[in-house]
Amino acid sequence: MLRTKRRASAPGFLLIEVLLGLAVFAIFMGGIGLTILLGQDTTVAGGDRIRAAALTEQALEGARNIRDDDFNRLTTGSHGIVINSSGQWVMSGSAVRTTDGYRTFVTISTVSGGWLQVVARTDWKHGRGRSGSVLLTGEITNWRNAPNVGNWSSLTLEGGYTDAGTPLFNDIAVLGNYAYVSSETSAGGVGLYVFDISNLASPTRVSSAFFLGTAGYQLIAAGTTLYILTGDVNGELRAYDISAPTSLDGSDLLDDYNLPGSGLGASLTLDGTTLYVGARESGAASRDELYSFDVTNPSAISLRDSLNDTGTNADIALSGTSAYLASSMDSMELRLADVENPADLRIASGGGYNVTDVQDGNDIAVTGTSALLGRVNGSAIEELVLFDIGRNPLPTSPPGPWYYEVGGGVHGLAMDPTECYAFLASDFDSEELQVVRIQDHALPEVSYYDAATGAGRGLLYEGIRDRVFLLTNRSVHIFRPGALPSGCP
Amino acid sequence: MHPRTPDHPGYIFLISILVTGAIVTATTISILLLGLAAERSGFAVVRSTQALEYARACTERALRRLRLNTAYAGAETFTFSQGSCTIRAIGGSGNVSRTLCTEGSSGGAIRRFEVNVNELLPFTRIEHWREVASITLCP
Repeated sequence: MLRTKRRASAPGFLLIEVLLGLAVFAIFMGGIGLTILLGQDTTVAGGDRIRAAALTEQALEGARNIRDDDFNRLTTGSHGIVINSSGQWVMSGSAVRTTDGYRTFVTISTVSGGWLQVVARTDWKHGRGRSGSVLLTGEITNWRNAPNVGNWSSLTLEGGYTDAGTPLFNDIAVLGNYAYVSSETSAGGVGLYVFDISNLASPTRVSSAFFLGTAGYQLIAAGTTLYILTGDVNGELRAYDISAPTSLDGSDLLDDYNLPGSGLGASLTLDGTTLYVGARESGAASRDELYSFDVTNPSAISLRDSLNDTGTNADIALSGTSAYLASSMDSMELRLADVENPADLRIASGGGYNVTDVQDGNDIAVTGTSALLGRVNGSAIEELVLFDIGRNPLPTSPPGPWYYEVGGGVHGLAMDPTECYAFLASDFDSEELQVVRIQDHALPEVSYYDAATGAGRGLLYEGIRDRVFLLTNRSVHIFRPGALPSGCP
Repeated sequence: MHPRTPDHPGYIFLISILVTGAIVTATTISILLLGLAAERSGFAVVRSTQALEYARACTERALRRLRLNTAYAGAETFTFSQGSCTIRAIGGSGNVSRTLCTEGSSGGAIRRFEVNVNELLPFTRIEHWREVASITLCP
């Protein structure tokens, strides 16, 4: 029988074992605890940095928001950026502190005219091991600025072209340093003229040998293509390649489109790759009064849709998903079409607006919250009508509309992009160009020009240069405004 | 008389201690790694946001240049203290229907914008300005 050897007793050894065990356990747990605390601290620190990045990005967004309102509100230096009681971002003090201990400010410096560098910084110090900063650098430019519009109360004839004959100029489009002017051919005109306007004081005709072969009416230039409505009954709508304006010839014809009927094309406008054409009224079937074309490939113009309407659409202007039409409808001289889907043209709900008497709408201009309708001459009417379309695309009364007596028919109409001035070409014998201030709706005439070269037949306001081009029987006149600021505050 | 059981005093306690220690150790390492990951995430967010700001800066520069000269072609790269941004070749010509693509980078983060401009002058009208994962609108 085995006998287990009894271990010799060691009095007090168990206590040592316990103490050693506790010591090892304490060291072990201490290490574990410190590691846990370190992990927790780094997690919190990471969160601190993410929070700071959000605040810093917010400051840059606030600066951009201030720029969106008015670039000139951004001033150099260090600023806090906050939302004021009106809900607007504003610069305030030298920095902004949050309740959780973050301090954010932006430092704005000028790089060049209309170009700022904005450096946003957020600092924090939340205790031992929890401090840091985040720095983000951005840039802001004045691309959203309103264009500079001069004082058109004081206009000056800057230059022009006068033909030896009587071409009867109809419409004008400007692209880059070239102006394209359409004309009749009945009195010796060539249908389409091209001018180099790099020197506005002395525009020179180029491509002098070009002959359209028929009368030219409304036209639009975009990219390298010129779209023009003509009197060609077999191809009223034409597209020309104008990549070489100084050597334009018949071979530059990209495509043409034969509108239903003969010579019924009256107006056109372009929206991206969709060309809208207004036509003269025709009661015949399949001869509609509004067309939309796909011009993604100008060499292959294709019809998207057409809309039958009552009345000639003498002019078209687009705003958002609405097409404003100057119409001959006696009950709706301002007509409204829904062009949200160019492949499904519709008359907009409400149809349009009926102005006084029955004189036809002849010209339309739309900018921002205003629409202008120019009408043919009428002894009992005021030929220029201003509508407020800011509240609703379909003008309603009140407010407006407001009226201005032209003294003759309106044959060209434009507004400047700040909605300060209306420019109109008229057949009023002593005021072929009239400038009306429309900002306050009182519609005072602020300046005019008496052309000795015939009636006003067309007009273009060119915003890039802040110039007005007036077309008469024999001339293209170029006008410049007086010095800044404009006549509108 | 009952037979005596083998004499292994304390082994259950020891095993328990070992298992508990393993669990605690794993948990601690996890917390440590999570903390490191959180800190790295914080820096990554900052770099990514800076890349976004650089892409925006290039877009702002391009729009400004186009308004001054509609013939501006883009295809430029600008270097900053924390990264760079690139303006790709600008699509279209003239005053209408222009496409603009920019890319900003900082510390390995890259952010991209595609912008469709309906009209440059007199007022710049933008059809869309969106951040994209990859640029398809420009070469």
